[in-house]
Amino acid sequence: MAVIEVEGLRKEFGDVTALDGVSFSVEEGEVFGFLGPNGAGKSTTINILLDFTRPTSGSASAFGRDANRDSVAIRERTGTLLEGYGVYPELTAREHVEHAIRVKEADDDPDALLDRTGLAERNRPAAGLSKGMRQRLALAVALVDDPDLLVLDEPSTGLDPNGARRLREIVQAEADRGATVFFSSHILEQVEAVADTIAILLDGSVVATGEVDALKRRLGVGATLSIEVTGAPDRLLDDLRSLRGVRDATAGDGRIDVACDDDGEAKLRALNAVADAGVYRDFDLREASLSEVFSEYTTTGDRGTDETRIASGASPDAAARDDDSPADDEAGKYLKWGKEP
Amino acid sequence: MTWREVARRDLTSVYRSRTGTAVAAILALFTVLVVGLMGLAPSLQAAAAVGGLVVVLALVVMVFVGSPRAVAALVGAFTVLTLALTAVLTQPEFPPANRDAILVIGSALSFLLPLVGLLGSYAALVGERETGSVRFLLGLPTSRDDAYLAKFLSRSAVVVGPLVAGMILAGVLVAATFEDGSFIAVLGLAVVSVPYALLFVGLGLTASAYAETTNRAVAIVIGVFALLRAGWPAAQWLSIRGIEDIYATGYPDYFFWIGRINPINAYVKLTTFLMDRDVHPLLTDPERGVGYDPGPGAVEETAATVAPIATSVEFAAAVLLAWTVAAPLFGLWYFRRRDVL
Repeated sequence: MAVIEVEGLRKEFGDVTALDGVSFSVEEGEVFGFLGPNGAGKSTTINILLDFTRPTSGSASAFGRDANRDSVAIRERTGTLLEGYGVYPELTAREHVEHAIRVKEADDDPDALLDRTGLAERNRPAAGLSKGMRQRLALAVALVDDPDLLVLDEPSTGLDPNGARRLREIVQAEADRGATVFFSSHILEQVEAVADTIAILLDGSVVATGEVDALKRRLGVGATLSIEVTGAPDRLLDDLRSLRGVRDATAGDGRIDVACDDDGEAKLRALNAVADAGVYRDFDLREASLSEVFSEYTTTGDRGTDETRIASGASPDAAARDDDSPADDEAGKYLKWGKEP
Repeated sequence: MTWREVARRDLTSVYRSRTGTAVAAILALFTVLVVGLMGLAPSLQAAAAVGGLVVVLALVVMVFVGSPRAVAALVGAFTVLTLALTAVLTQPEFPPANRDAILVIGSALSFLLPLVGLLGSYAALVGERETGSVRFLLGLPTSRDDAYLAKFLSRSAVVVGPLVAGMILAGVLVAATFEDGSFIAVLGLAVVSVPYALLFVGLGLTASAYAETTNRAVAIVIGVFALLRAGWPAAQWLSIRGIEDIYATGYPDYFFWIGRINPINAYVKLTTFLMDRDVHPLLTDPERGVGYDPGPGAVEETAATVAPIATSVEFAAAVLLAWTVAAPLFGLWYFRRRDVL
């Protein structure tokens, strides 16, 4: 059963289109990774889901209830940790949690919740808390009343490595309890570490969605065969593309990059084809990580932004390449697959 | 229905912040000072002048002193000082009249309550949007209606609480030291002042629901106050510019219809009801200028013919109540349909 269903969501702010037909669904009990660079529209989607913002068109629902008309019913079963939240500076951390407990008519122990998120400073005005402490406070508030759905938007902001690990553990524990987790972030590693399913949001559109493994496969990132060649005639590229198990083949800089499904046969066929054409010199094989998918989406064409290049660690120009360097450092340089095969 | 808990939390926040203390301080200072000074000053003008100076001074000090506790201590000191001075310097042989007390306190409040009401509420909603705590407010299962109601109630309490307390104190002083001093009359003034204060809390809240930033909200409430206090009379005077020899013909009916739908005038008119006289220095006397031919019975005749409904106490009561009810509803209407993020 789908806990969240988003259908054709559009949102325009003046003449800026923040969301351009976003659709996805989140199944009950899964950890759903919502991945995209800053400004892609992740927070806008969440704001619509929680009725902070009204869509221009399209619909969003949770637990089968409309996000606008039945928002309170949704929020009764949802815990939220949202990007850009602010604390009430005059209240203590403990009072924040107590307030949430009373509003939700729950019977949690505020200290137990703050213990769980690791916030010791609980009787000082929240104005004096650091960003990381506030994040722990907000996470404790989100966990009040054992929500059926957790909506976390950039939850690791300001957390130190310890805090980030604790966050992962809490997400895991909540998922084990049966909660559905909507985990939104621009940092791939964090999403990949916890998510069962991922949707990649880019410039207001979902460009890919699926289980993490299936997503890699579907996007043809099982592996990339990089063949050093003496020449790359167009006919060879066409031949390669027509081979079973080959997603795409591109030439450049004395190499042909062949994106293969995760299956040795396809690679062998590709190597054979290159050898038959008499241009083969050497080859190199790289397993693709999801970061390549992400960086590809965010750096190819005109959709790329500086932030995403930094986020993925990939350089946008696919020029120089050191054969000895590990493949991961070169993420996204060679892979040239289409948006959706 | 979570408005009760939200209002409780908001009240806590406001009272721990500067807003609540400032509002309480201004009201306490003003009522006590006005009454106290009247008791000892030889003339109303001197009382008003000295009172105004002291209040301005106190406000300036408050801005620099900062912390709520310091402000509260300052107000306490002022109050004790004023009461002591009043007790020492009151001249029992020349006690001021009760009607003067109502006149001066009522006139002072007609200026002060708009400012205090607007000050107490202008940041209520837009402030939470600006700091991001609105993500707590509406991320928890609180409807926008409940949130708005809670804000209205808590900010009303912030203004009305000190107002009523100050008026009770003023009533005791007036009853004890003024000629025919009436506690009941001052209490009546308090009863009239409460809806007047709520009206400006409502206007401030509407501005807060509408504005995109607190600065904008401040600009709006200053504009509203200027419009009601200065713009409105200016428009009235412009409307009769073309009339020649206005003292012979008297003011036209529409002059009073325009003037008396202004809530400030409505409030002032209501205070005249409590001091057994029809005219007030802040209001245009309908009979003024018409008594050119003061034959016997002329006054009653004109009083009955110049806008008798608009200038009646009943009409003033209706106008004040209508404004008080309508002012917050505009904001609620807008707040329901807007994007809060």
